Amino acid sequence: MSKLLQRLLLLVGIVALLVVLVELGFSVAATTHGNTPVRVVHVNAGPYPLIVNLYKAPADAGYALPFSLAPQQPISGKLSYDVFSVPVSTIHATPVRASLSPDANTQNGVQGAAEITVQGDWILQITVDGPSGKATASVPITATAPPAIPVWLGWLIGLIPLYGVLGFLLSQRRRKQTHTSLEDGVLVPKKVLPPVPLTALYKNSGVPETLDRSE
Amino acid sequence: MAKALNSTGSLSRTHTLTGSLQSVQTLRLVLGYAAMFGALIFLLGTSWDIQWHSAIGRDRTLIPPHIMMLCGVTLSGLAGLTAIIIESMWARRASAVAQHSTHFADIFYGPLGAYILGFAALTAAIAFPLDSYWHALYGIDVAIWAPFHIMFGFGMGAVGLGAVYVLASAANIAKMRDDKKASRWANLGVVLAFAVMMSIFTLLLFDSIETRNFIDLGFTRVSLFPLLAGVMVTTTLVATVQIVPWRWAATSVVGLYLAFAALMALFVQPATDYLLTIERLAYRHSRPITSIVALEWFLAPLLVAILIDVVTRQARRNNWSARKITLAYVLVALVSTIPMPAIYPIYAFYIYELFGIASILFGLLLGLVGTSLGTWFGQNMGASLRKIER
Repeated sequence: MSKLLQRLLLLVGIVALLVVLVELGFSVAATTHGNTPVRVVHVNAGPYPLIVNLYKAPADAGYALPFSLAPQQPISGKLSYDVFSVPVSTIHATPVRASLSPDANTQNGVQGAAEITVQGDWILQITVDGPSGKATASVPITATAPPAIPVWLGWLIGLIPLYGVLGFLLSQRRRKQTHTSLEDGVLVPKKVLPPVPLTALYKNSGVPETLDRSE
Repeated sequence: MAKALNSTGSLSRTHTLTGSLQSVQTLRLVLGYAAMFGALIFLLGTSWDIQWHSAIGRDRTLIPPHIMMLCGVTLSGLAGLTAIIIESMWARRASAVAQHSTHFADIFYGPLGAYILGFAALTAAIAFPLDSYWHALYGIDVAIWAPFHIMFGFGMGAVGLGAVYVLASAANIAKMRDDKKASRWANLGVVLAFAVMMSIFTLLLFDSIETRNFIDLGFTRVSLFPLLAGVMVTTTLVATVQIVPWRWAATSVVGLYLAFAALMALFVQPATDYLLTIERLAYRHSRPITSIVALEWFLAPLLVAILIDVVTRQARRNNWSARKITLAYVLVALVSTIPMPAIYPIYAFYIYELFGIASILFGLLLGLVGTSLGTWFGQNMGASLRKIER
């Protein structure tokens, strides 16, 4: 393989690694809450009026949607929440339970991240359990995805490891060209000199200087 | 006196040489095993993921099976990277190391397999976010044969290949140094890595026996299974018998291949049940009794492995010609082109009933192409692996 191609491959590898790291950063950043919500929704879950803060609208499909929940007025007693992102029936997806953690700044408030796996219309289904019993509220959300690449391009990219492995296996043919005789049922080198056993070096009076630059 | 001093210096240099080669051999053994172990973690994680998707649905991006798969990718990638970094440092100080390493881009030295590991793990790592993107566009029930599933799975199968190359180079250095213990460990690693590689590629075969994926020829429909299984099984087993000096080398690979299926059967469903309870989720349909992947594992490679071992033994005893041994491999490997899932070993009869004898005959033809290609790839790879020290 030429030096130029090797350097090109190295460059592609470094760029690819950076892309993976940036994508990882995006995924982690997607779960963090900003300072100001992008959309604020007031809903009633039975007897509990709630404020739902969405930190991304529309949501990004394939990423988490950060949100926070709090009662509109202080409520005596403790509220507990269970939140699901539920796809509307036309979407090929299953409901996903959102992760929740208490909001230290708001009494009976929680922060969370809801995974929206597929683009389209979803519902954030909030179940509240408190002193007045259990009730549910729904907040409609829309998820968008980046523009779709053509399916053929998807396959072209998806088969990259196959090209790599096939190219590698074919390159092994060149190695084999010096292996044309059969010994013990397996192909063995024909023209390549056998490696010198290291034990033979002990028997010689000297070792070639080229063997070790450190000396 | 001067001669004696010169002789002492020579001995010291020889010790340095053997010492550095021993270090290279140990490094490759450890990192080759680490990469193979990463690929095995990926295999188990993928089996768990298939179970999770089928029984529960695709929910969060970072569900435990995905985390397990990514851990496997990371471990294998780091193993390759570590091998290259360490050998590059050693090669600058000891030319013996440089002579036994593959030089790349004027900067790096390392075993050839480590570069394969790097390429394969990187493509798998890129495939993961691309797969999330694909799911975001087309929904959760995307088949295994989707572009970025193939990229992910094939990438990790190639990690198995990289591990084979790293461990084979360690085996060859150990053989050269007459280190029998290290040689045994390296050969065991090669067999394990081949088994993991074959198992990961098997995951990509399941969709080929789905009738919706058969190619419509107008008068009949044909599965690509014989072609793909023929290439995969034959390449793996023919390469194995060429480099592993054991009487039952191919059978050992397939024995481990079946053992991995047993491991999935033991691990996947209890792990799914456990997490289902913790995450308070519910099964979409009924609860599976065991790992879906283990139930669909193919049994035919066992017969092929035994036949290939027997053929190799006969060829060695009777000094067969290269053409005769190649033909024997192509023919005995045809057994691998019969789809024999553990849950329904007579699946071929079902295809016959559905699509008739023409489908079977075309399948046989494709199988012949597959086993011929596989034998060619396997012999080339085996010849290269037998002498690889770099």
